[in-house]
Amino acid sequence: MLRQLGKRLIASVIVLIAISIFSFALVRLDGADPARMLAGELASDQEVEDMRVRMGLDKPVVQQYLTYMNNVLHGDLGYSWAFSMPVSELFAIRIPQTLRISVLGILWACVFSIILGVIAGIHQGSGVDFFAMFFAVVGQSMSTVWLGFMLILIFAVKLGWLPVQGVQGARSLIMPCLCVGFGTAAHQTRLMRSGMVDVLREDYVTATRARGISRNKTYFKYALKNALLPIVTNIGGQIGRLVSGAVVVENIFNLPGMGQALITGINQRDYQLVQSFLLFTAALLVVCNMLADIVYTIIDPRITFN
Amino acid sequence: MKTLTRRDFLKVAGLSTAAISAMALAACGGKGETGTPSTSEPSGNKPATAPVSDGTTQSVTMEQAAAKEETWTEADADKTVVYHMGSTAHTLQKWTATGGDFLGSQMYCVYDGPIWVNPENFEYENYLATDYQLSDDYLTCDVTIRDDVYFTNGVHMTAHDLWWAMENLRASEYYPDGIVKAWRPYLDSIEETGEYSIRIKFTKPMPAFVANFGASLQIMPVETIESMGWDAYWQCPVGSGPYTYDEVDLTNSKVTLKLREDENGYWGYRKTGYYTNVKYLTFENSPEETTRIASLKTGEVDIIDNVPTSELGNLSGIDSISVNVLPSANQVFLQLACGAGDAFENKDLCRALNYAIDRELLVSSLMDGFAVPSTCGAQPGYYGYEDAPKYEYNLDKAKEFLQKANYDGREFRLVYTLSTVSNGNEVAQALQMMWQEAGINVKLEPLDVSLYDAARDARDFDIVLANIGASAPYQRLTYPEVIGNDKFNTGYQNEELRGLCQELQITVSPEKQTELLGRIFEIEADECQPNLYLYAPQKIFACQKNVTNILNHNATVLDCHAIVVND
Repeated sequence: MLRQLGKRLIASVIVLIAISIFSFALVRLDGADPARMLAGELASDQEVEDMRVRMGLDKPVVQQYLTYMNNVLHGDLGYSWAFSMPVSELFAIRIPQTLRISVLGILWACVFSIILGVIAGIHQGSGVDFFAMFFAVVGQSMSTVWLGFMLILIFAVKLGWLPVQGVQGARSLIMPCLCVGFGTAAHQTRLMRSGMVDVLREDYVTATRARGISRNKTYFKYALKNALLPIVTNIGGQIGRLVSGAVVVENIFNLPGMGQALITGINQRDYQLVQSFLLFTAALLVVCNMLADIVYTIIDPRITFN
Repeated sequence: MKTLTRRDFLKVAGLSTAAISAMALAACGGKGETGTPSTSEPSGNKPATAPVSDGTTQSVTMEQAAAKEETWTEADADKTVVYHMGSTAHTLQKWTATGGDFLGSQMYCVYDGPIWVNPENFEYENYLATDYQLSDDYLTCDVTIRDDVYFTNGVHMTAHDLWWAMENLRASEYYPDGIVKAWRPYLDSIEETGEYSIRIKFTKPMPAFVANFGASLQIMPVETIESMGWDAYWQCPVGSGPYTYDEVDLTNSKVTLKLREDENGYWGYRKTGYYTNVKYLTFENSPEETTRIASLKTGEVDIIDNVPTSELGNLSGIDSISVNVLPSANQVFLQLACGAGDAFENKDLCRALNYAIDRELLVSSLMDGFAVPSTCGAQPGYYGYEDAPKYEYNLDKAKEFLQKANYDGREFRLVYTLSTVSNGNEVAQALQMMWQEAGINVKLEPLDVSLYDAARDARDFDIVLANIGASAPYQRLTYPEVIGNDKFNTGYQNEELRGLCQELQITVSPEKQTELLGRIFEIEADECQPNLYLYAPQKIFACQKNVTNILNHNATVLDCHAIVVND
């Protein structure tokens, strides 16, 4: 397994290098001039040129990339021109906020969807099953922006139960987390339900019941484990969606996380901030997928790491 | 568990959908107010006679304030106000920030300027200055400031501090030319002529001198900066205004000011008679306007700005909220590529574009009346407006000019960005349809701000939908800069107009400025180049009704230094 893990690590590094090149090129493709933007609309050509030199944009693109990657490997993610601070410092301030709502969002989504999906799968055709399917369809088709504003209007403006925005203790996280995890919860409910329905039709489940093993033990010890596999796969892939969802949600609820910073960075062509964020997200995705693969082998010993 | 039939499911789903829809509709403004805002009338169709606000920006009268003078002390202030706005800043340096309103509002609370615009009558008045004298040739100005002013850290303000603030603008390693363009080319020398007086020598007459001599100058205690160092000072700067920085979180664009508590107190309250009962004043960026409005409704926030006109009906139906309109300080306009070989080199084509635009309709339908249609290059009440020929909407004339121009049906590119014209999509689409009616084909190209700037720099456009600040002090400079120097790269060539603009740049006399602007507008209106002005949008802010005494100095920025929260 260690050997396979080593292979996966090498593959991951290659993926990350490819992503670093891609993100480096992507932010530069639109032809905008960040030096002009930073120097201001009224700046003279000479001032813009000076700014370009200060930003290191006067150098050949390949050299810029190699310098950036060399710095990244030494723990330096570059300097954010938009925020006037090192990117790593900005990450240290902003990422905890983004992770908080992303992790809490995926947590409630997992717990809720597994419980609802299992009950719906066991009681196929029941009211709970219909509710689960209804939730899955509505939840997946609902826009995060619309949901966010609806939550604000209902729970903050009309009912006055929760604060509209900002970081004001645990209560202020409820709506953003609901919003971030809603789509994931809906998707996973559907997966969990169909997984459970499929597994319960397997012969080994019938055999287990025939051997006199209790219904609950059959469902939760034998069936659930197998039904969880698609969920595990899905969670690994959902990280990217959660982070992108957090970008929108942070703006709606005015939470000072990476999402807000990223939008500022994109608008101001803050190359190093955007590149580093893309790289960070890609690394997160790679790690999560690898963890999902490891969890597979634990849940289902028939599956090997390779 | 009971098994449900498909019919049952449909019932459940239908009921759930209905419930969700009902909640959503209720949340979207259950009262269903669609009436006209009651708090302030749009002034779009009511040209002002002077550059004053048509809105209902509240301000306490001097009599009211004076009545409080006998008993008021800073210790009485115990209220908190939270102001959410749609702009950010990542530094407290006015000259290097792109902070816009975020820093602009703080300037009035933390710093004082030698001159201010009286919020009661919008006249320029001495503030820190006790006197200023411009020489007859407008090349020298002697300024004397008050002798009883202390910075919030206890340092006594002298002429040296004012000298230093200006010297920095004249020749400093701190600010690039582009940033202090309104100052640097004009400043020849600044010398201290006494403990409280300085003499400023100009390289050429500076028409906007008085207007620029306001709170945005950021007069700082020199000895503090010298002892702390430039960068350290800007972590928590001090001024002579009524508030000090209490908490600064620029990464998140959040700043809390605290009412000064030093023994010297704020000199300005004694001068103006204004007072405040607000101890803490928080400015915070809140990017989503819907979120800002929701926060105001729940009372989490006391003041919000940039309220969309579509929300006014809803907001004005709420008893606890007041909606206010600030005077127009911007112009939304079209910039045409009209250099040799450009799409609009032909003046008749430009005239056709112009006659096909129904500006009144734009204002009434897209701005809900909260804008002033631009019937010429100036806004009502400003220099040159009265005598300028007015734009006209005439579809027949548009078609006539189109024929004269031998228009071959080619498609023009209109570029715009939502960063400068927030309802740019709607405006651009409306223009496209108006032009289509006249037979002009236009393709819309929405761009993000950096690409928009790049397109403008490279003259990679036929038409640009743009927005320019044209507040009272700057409007006189806008024309020399934008038209005379072709700042936005339209390629426009007209030596007469250029000469007039250059003359305007160094003209101080209001009569002469009016005359020059009149001539400039005449040429522009005749040629319809290089710009076609559309409308001047009004800025709308809303606050809790118990928050009063928000001052306005005929600008889009609010002055909260004397804000009052009533019980």
